[in-house]
Order: sequence, then C-alpha cells, then structure tokens
Amino acid sequence: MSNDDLLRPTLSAYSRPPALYHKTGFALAAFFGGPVGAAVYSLANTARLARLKQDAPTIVIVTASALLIPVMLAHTGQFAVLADLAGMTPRGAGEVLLRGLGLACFGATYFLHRRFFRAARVSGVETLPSWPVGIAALVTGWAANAALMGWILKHH
Amino acid sequence: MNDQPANAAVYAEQAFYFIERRRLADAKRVLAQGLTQYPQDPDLLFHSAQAEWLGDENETAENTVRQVLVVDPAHAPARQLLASVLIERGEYADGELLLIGLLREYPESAELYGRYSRLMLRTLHLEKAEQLAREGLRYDPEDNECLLAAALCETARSGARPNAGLQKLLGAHPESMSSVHALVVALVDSGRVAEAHRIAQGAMRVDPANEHLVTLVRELRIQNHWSMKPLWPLQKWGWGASAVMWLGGIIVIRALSKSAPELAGPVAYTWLGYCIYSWVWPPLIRRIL
Repeated sequence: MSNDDLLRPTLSAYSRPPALYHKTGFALAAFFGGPVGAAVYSLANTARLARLKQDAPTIVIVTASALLIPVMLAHTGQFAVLADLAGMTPRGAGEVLLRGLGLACFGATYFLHRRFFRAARVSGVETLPSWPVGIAALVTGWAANAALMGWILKHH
Repeated sequence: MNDQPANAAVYAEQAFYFIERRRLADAKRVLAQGLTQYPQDPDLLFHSAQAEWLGDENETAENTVRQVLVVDPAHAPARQLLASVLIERGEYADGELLLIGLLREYPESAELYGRYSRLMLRTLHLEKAEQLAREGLRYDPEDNECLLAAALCETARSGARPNAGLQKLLGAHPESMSSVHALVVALVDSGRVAEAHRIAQGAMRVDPANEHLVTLVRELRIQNHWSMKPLWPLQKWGWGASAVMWLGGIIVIRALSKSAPELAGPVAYTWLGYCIYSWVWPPLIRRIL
C-alpha cells in the first residue's frame, strides 16, 4: 500500500464502522442453536466486519461439514451405536452431538475472527447489543436442529 | 512587585506546566485569568480545551476547541484534539478526515501516523493499522504513539505469544502510561493476571489520580482474588475452557452413570456446583470488593 493509499479515507459517515457482537452470545447461540445457530451468529459478525465475501464461504463449508456428520453417522448405522454407548435415546444423543458440533463451529469461526475480537479488546471497543442476533441464531438453530433430527429419526 | 504574567504566552506556559502535571484546577484558574485579558488567544483557548478534555468534560472541550479553530483554522494541536473528541464520541469518519488532513500537512509526523493507526485498530481495520504504525516508525523509530499502536496490533494478531512490538515500546518508553496499559492488556490476554495486577498497582502509585488506572487495578484485584483462583482455567482459556467443561462434564457423567453409578451423583453435583460458582461468584465479588 503506497502512502497515498494509506491516506485514503477508510471510514464513511454513511456506513456503520466495523464492530462485533458479544463473544458470550456467540458461544451460547452455538451451544443451544447447534451449527446453524453458530453460522447465523458468525455471519452477522462477518457482515458487521464487512468481510462477507472473504469469510462467508468458509462459514458455509464449516457448517455444512458439521451438519453432514450426524447424517453420515445415521447413514452408516453408527448413530444408534453412539446413542447406545452414551446410554441415551437417539434424540437425546442427537441433541448432545449437535450441541458439540455447534461449539466446534463456534471454535472454528471464532478462530477466523480471533484477531478482530482481540483488536476490539486491546483498543477498548465495546461490543454491539447482541440480543436480536442471539435470538435469531437460537430460533433458526433450534428449527434446523429439530428438522435435522426429525429427518434422521424418520429415515433411519 | 507585580507577579501577574505579562502576556498570553506566559499564561499559556503556566497552564501547560499545570496540565502536564495533571493539576487541572490550577491550570483552569490560570487560564480563566488569562482569558479575561486575552479572550481570543488561540493557545489559551486550546489549553482550556485540553484541560476540559483531560477532566472528561468532552462537550465543553469540543465547544472550546471549535472556538480555537474559528480564531485560527490551521491550529494543528487543536485539530488533533478535535479529532480525539470526535473519535471518543464515535464519529470515526470525521475524526479520520481530520487526521488525514493533518497528515497531508505534516507527512513526516510519526505521532499522527500513530494516532491514525490507533483509530484504524479501534475500527477493526487491523491491516491498515499495522501499515500506518510501520510507516510512522520509519520517520521516528522511538515514537511512543507508533510503538504503542504497533504493540497493540501485534497483541491483536498474536495474543499470548512473545510480542516484539511490546518489548520495543517498553524499552523506549518504560515510564509511559500507554506502555503500562499495553503490557497489562498483553499479560491479561496470556492469563498472567497476578503480574498484570502488580504492574498496574506500581503504575497507580506513580499516578494515583488516574481514574482509568484505579479502575484497572480494581478489576485486576478482583480477577487476582484467592476466591477467583478456582476459575483460573476459565479466565485463561475463556470460552474454549467453558466448551470443554460443558461437553466434558456431560460425557464424563454419562460414562460414569454406566460404568460407576455410585460416583456419578457426587461428580455431577460437584460439576454443577462449579458451573454455578463460575456464573454467580464473579458478578458478586465485583459488588463486594
């Protein structure tokens, strides 16, 4: 970047400056909303960072891979074995698995934005009010989890 | 003998002496005297704005600094101060335009590059913040603002890993408050709360009137309290530790209920107690201490 590029304005009074939603809300949305809840929350963060083009494909791939795991387990007959091992009903085991996968997705997408979370921390930037995004992520995540579990239990 | 200052410059010098030592009441008294005689003097007005800004009277400071710019639109320190006021109020784009204007006039001012870099870091433009700090350090490798910006950028990028930027900052300006702040942030980030607390306490002894430091020491004292020690893994690894705790707890309790049912109950209650402690105690201790 030349000196002229460096001195070109980056911010605009007509668009919101980059910011992040709360990390706690992110973890909770991922835990209770599963991979889809984590995806909704991290896409909201990505949009506020104006990085949808760069980061959205990674988020979609991570979420799709996470959702494929229970489907593949069910397809290969391992889902019932897993539930039996854990001493749970298939639905209960599925819920725990989706929560674990939600947290894994949270970890992966948090890693993607980790430097921005740290930059916000070291420069004392306050996070955005996170309730609306958190609720949207939870509702979408719950619906997706219920639909996926319903499909798995019906077809396998 | 008349010991009253003879002209505006002497009043300004006296006021600056007090401002540097954070004796804001004395500075304001001298400035009030000076401004009754020289109400349009840009330097006296600027120091007034500076004293107001340091005393957290941001709105009054903005009005005063705008008065300076009416009298002397090119007054560089006043434009810098206005940029700080605007940034503090969240008007980042206007603050940026002021800083760019100043940088175009003073293209070799490392301090301005440092300030612009801090603004970019605050608005999460990490790459540009790093480049600006690097550019500023080309003009003055010892500049405090640029070294601080570079150290913060490195902390944001590499977290707890060894931080060359911070080493440089502490080497060049061990006395600076911003060095202390950067060091404390880096130490807290790497989970070294006790060291961060000790350093912040030392800094507070040097500058006991600094409210920011008092708040920081209080927060670190809470984090370093003996009753918070059991929560150390959660403090150090944050949400990673929470996730492991939740999933690990569920899996271990499930496994125990099958393999050793007599242990499952006590382990589950201990785990639940720890979870409740981690939720309830931190906010409670903040009220108590």
